[in-house]
Amino acid sequence: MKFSYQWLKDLGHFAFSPNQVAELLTLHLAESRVVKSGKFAVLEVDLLPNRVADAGCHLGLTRELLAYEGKKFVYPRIKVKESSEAIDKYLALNHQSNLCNYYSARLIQGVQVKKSPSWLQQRLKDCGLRPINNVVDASNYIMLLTGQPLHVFDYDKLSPILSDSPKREIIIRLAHPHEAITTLDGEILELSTSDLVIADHKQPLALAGIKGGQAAEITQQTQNIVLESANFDGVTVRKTSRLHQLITEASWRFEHNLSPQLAPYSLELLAQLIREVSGGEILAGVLESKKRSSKKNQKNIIPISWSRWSNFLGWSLSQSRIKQILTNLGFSFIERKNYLLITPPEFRNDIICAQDVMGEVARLIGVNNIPLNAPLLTSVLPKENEFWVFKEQFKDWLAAYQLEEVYNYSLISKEVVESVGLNNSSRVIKLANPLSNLFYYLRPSLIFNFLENVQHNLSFRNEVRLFELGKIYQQGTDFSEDEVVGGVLSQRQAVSEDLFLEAKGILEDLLKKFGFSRSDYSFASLNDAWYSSLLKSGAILMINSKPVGVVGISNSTLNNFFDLKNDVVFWEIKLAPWFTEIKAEKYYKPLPKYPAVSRDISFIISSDVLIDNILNAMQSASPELLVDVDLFDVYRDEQMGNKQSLSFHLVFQSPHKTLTKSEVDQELDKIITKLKHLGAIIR
Amino acid sequence: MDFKQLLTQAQNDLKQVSCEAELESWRIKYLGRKSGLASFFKTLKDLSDELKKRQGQQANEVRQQLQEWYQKASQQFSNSSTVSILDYTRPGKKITQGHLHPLTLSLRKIIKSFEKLGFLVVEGPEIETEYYHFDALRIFPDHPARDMWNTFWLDSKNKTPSARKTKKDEEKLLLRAHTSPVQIRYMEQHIPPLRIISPGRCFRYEATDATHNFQFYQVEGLMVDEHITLAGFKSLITMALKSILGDNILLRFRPSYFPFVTPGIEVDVKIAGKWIELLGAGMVHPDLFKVVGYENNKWQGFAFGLGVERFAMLNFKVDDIRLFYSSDVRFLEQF
Repeated sequence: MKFSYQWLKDLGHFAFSPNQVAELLTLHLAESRVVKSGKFAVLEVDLLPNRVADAGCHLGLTRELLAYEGKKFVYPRIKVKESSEAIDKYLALNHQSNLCNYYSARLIQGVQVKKSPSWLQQRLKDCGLRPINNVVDASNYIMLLTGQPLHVFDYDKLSPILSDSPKREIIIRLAHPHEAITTLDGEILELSTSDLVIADHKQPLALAGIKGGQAAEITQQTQNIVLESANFDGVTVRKTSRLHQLITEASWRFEHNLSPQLAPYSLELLAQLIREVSGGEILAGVLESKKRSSKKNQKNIIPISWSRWSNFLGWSLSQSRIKQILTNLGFSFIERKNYLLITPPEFRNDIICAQDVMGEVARLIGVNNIPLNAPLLTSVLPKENEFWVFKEQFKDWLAAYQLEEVYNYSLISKEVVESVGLNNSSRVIKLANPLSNLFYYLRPSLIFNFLENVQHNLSFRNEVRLFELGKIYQQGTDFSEDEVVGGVLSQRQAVSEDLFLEAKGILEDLLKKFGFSRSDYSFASLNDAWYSSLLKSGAILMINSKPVGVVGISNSTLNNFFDLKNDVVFWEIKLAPWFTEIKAEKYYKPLPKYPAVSRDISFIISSDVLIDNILNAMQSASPELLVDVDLFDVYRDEQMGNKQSLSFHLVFQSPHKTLTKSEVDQELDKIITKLKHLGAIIR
Repeated sequence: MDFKQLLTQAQNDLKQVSCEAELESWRIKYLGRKSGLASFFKTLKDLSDELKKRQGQQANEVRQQLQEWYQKASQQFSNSSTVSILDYTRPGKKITQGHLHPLTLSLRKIIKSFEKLGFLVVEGPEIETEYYHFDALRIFPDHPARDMWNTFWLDSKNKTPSARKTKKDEEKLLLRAHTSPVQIRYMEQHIPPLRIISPGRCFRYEATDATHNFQFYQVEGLMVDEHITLAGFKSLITMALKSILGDNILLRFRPSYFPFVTPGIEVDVKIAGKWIELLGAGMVHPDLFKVVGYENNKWQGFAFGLGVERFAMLNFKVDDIRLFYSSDVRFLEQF
């Protein structure tokens, strides 16, 4: 929000330079800077929503600045010079709605609409407003001064109550069904019956507190004007303004719940100023109406005991200092034996509880000047979030496998989801208000970002190895978010089976690191419809028979979408179920006392027999002594048809003795027998 | 054959040998298949038994002597050659690990500092209800303060209403624009004293540029106890920030506003002559204690929220926030 430095200075008579004002405001109110220096210096103040109502105007900001100096702000006094003729003869108020807290009007006859004097134009320009004519400029000027939005109607354009009487009526009411208004910008708005309007008895003249209409617009020909100064309900103004997407300086101010006291004062200032810059006679009297069912304006009285100040602020302040600061800020108080009964100033609608009051005192002293007093703490040994530690451990280990950590967006494009047909899936969550089609859905898997990452990185390197730990989002019976860790491996000219086995190897090593043994987990075939729409082949990782994740090769639809020539191996694991299955303790196994004996075995077998089955067969044939099996060669060629040649390295060992050659041969024979049952031809 | 002469000659020749290749020639000359000694052994069978025995023995001894010399010399060469051939300026073998993301590194730094002060890491959902995200934090509907959190709302048209049971859940769903809902969620479940930090991903319905992104990480902090004061907050947060950014940093505390704290405070750090916003904070608003059902007037606390990207940008002098989400390995490899 922009403020004219000279204007503030004229009101406050302070000695601060523009930079000093900016510095003071930053330390005591809101971040501020000098945006224009020189004769017409301008300050930009980033007021926060709680202070717009009182400090969002030149009077309010001056009042703030004087409080820092310990001076009390005195409002400029105003005395309107009225003509002898009374307003009632020409105008009446008809206040029909509770959504207007207060309405006041004055009538000025015989104004001359023209350009404003240059000082007035300059002030408006300094504050970022465009000068229009002296009447409109005057109302904007008073708004910048007091914070009260004002409106001016062309009196002669209001329709008379009776055809033979000059008297007209201002009606404050809700819009009728199917009513419309043409705004000053020429836009026609269809009104809703929750919109508050200012009307004559023919049509709406203005959208209350937001924008005027063309019907009673001020023009060069205008002679007689009605001045409006009202207090409209903030929520109503905000709703109407959002409904019609019409945010104006006035609506923005009303949203912040202005003090109703501003309205009568501003009306007087405006009448006086218009008379000064446009001429004319101010008719005697003000038309005023208050909210009909207005609750008794309860004064908010806050008791604060003396001991509470240091309990909350953390250092001790003298009673006289506290009272002095409260006075400077416009608070009033009554002293009791051990406490103060404090009443916030009427213009501060944001001071409600004791902490607000004590915070105000700290603010005036300057939070930057508060001493650093270490808190008195209950001694507790902090607990550790084991899941967090687990995730950090996971990241460290993944980086050790030469994977680069990425952070991707949780939002993915409309197009990519449509490419795999998941836009029809009830599992994908859509934004109600997307920024663009590029960030349209919540990612249901990490794969979409990953493939885009691969596409990007393959344009300048031959190999991409990434991982991410983040959330995926799906819609089942409820909206759910699952924390997952996933990765991709891609390499130009790589055999995708090799990459798949590497990814699987990474998972197996991680499982081992987290204390899982071969019997705790397994890889099952990819019969999941969800992942089948993303992967052309792969497997589901099961831990203790529960599915926790997937590892596979992206399908051609996705590859084509990202223009990828080579396969990408992808994996994704849900962290919560993995974490749940981790056994608390990891115990050491004694080192072997007797030597191991190894044998190699090669055989030809149908490719339909899964390696898992072969391994299980071997293990069951020699449950005690076969301690390790390693598949070290797989060979296929066209002549072998549906068969492949496999070579295994077998390790036998007994915890009780050194195995003899014949004992090992016996075990090997048992294994060979089993393998032959599976159709193996031993070489 | 004159073995004596052979040995003398061989010995003299060996003295001239200065490299491995010359030693190899020497070996071929004296011990190779075409050497004098080898030819002698071939002719041995033609000699008489007695000569065969005597000269054969002598020849064997000579051969042993020559082999001994050869081995000694070649050992010398192999010892000296490793020393002279090692060029320590050659690049080391490329052994790499992957790299943790700069946001992970900065987040760890932040968390470590607060953990030392006894804060516990807790997490909250990214999909939030209107209640936890706004109402419980006093960010009331149709109030201009809501505009401080530009929000992505979720399309819940397909939602089966029966799935949502409690009143709090009957709200519209959104992607959280701050981590502050964790304050309410945690306090609902725990009685003070408590000290938590809650890192997590947040989203704002905002245009993206070099310093703003629609997705970002925040760390929420909350400390509630009987004697937490404003000066105590200042002291604790100063300690933590110095431990994260260095002892020499210059901090500035100034007023701010968030509906769920009072008074609201902003903390800036001075970098290269400019004040940079670091975190928003304040004393927990008493209404929040009411909302979670705490005993009246018993507890005081402070809360803060800081942007992780901001810290990472300071830590690593990154000048464009969007780089963190670029996935470009040339960027990621640098950390």
